[in-house]
Amino acid sequence: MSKKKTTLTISRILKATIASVTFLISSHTFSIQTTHTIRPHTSFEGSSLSNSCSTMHSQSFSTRCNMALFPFQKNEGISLSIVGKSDGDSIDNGRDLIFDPITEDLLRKLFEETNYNSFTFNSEVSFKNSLFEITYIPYYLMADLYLFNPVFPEISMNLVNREELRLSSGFLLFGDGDLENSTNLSMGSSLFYYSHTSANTLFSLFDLSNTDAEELIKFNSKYGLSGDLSLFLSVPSDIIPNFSIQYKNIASRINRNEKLTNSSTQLETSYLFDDYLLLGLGKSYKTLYGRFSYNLELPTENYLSDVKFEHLNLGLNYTLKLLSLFMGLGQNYQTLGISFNSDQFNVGISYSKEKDLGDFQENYDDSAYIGMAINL
Amino acid sequence: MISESTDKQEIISALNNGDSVTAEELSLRGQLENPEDQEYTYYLAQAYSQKAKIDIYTLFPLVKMQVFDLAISEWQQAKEYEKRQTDSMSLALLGDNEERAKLGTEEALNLQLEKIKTLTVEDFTLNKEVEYLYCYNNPSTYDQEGNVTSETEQCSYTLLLTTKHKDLKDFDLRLYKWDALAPNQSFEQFFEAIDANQFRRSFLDYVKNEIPKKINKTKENRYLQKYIKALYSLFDSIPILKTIPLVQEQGMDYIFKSIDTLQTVLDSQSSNERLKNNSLRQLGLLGGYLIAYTFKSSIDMDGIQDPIDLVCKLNPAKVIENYPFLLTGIRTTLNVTIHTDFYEKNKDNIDKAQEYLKLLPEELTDEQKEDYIDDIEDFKSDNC
Repeated sequence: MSKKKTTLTISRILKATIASVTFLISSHTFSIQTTHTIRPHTSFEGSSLSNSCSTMHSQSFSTRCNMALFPFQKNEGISLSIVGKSDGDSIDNGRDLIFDPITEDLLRKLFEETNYNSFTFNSEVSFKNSLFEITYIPYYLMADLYLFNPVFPEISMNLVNREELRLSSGFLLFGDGDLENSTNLSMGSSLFYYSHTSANTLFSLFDLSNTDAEELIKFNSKYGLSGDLSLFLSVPSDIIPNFSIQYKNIASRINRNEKLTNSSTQLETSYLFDDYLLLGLGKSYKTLYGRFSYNLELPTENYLSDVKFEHLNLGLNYTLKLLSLFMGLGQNYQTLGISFNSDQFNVGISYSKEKDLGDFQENYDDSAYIGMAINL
Repeated sequence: MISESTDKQEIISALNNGDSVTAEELSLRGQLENPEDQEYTYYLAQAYSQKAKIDIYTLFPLVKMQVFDLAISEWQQAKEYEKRQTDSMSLALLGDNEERAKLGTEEALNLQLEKIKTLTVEDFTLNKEVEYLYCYNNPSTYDQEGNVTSETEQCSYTLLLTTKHKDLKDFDLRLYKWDALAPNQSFEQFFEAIDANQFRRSFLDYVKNEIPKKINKTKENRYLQKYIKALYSLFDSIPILKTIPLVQEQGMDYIFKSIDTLQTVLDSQSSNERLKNNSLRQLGLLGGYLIAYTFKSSIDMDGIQDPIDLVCKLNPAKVIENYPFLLTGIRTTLNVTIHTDFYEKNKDNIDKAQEYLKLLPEELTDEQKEDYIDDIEDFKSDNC
């Protein structure tokens, strides 16, 4: 689907949101930082681990977590996968906002239950061989709605539709690839073209009475080339953890406006499209009763000088034959997931308590995610 | 030290949780520490509004309310009420469309008057048509015995004067005349010999007097149209008015505080576009609420079947009691219109209305109250 057509589709959905209510975008932009478990190029498994998986090697989802794990992942072929939020207060409310008329009852419910609603979805088609991986992401969708001030309600809205085409690869810099018995250093990288269509607006509920959705929600598009670069160091020890460092979204034109990140009214994303460094520390243990892995992940900014401990996440994974269990623990995300993986088909479901707005959000939002993949 | 945004986030959180006391305290503190930042003042107004305990969602229909079309929606031009003008009430008060069309517009009539002022009797011809004629012989001389010696024929007649002159053709003049004919003169001979200039002068004077009358009638009709429109709009809004909550007296104090605070944000040069827009709309809403409150608490809503009932079921004592709310409501909504396109198009009328509102007393005197009650009661006894 072309960018223009996609924009039109989103625009129409939003118009339907608004058409049922019978007021103007502020020229000033401010932001409340939002993060999401589903990021572009994220697998269901990654989101179930709160994206804390950059040292979890030798798994079907490893390269989605860290391209430097490419040399240790053996599966090849074509796969189609989707992951999205499927249930929860937020999705119910988001669906109601999009498809039903905005009524007094709905608005009351939103303020009573959760005044922050989000929807994220990722889809991918990938082809992998022993040398490289090509991934096409036709749709990465993200819709954040924050409704505040019940006295004179305002809606802060951040909408993104992104398309990506990635070429990724990885190779050993040092070692023989035997992770159990020798020290290895690998490097991975992705080069990707993106088309990023977004609208970040703030308007009052009463603007809706007499202004068209197109006037209130104006989309703009950016295109560009960006890349990820990562390193993975494994140590043959049961105690000393493996280490990874990833530089994500290098040279991305989708930057966070630092002046605005502390605003109280407008939404802005973090660690999704902007450039940042991601540090990972973890270990995998292969036993007779399956593989157990843990991973600690910490984003940093300004070349490691600004460490974001509030975004520290612990990912735990246990895999026994076809069955995998996942747990993600962090200040803002607590996730529990299960997946069934066969050679041809993967399916999984996870439950999450999440605060996409971080400290700004007082209560956790309960959500469910589903993921499916077909391997050809 | 708490950063500005964290501070504001706390205020918003307090508002989201319905904790208006904390929101008010934090806003007042923020206002003291950052007097230039109007966002704190804006949030203070929100806290006051929340304290007034008006349920915003019940006010939401106000936006769609016909009677506040001019005040709350985008203050666009008033809708055409042609359909309404054809019904019995309009017909009785205004006459039919054709009749009104004959009146013409005020501007056209003024232009016509200017042209006519320069006309002379030589500039046009008149058609004279005798509509009614009655002639009889009247004795004019008597002899010594009192016998009639000669008679004069006298005629009473009606003349319809018309002209084809483009600036005068909309007018016709009927003259009722009584004349004595010369001896042996027939009426036809008399009529032919009449000085045409005399009639033309009369006709021209008549038209010059008639046009200002037409202008006044047009004005009267315009006011009547507005009155009918307001009545119908109000009538249409009865179902919505019924849902409007009536706040307690203390709530009214907070509405007044909120209006004053929002007006400060709106008037401040340091307010950004978002704050100005929101304040404008909220002021419109609160002003509209005060007007709606007055209507609702002054009229027996359940007894209204017809627009005329809006006056028949009106409790004048209640209107007087709610006079301060009505006055503030109208002043607030009018102040709001100054910031809209509607003002540009209706500047003269709004300025006049504002001047008039300034003259209105903050409180009615006993005499004014009595006069008002008498007027309403008189109307009721004549029409209800």
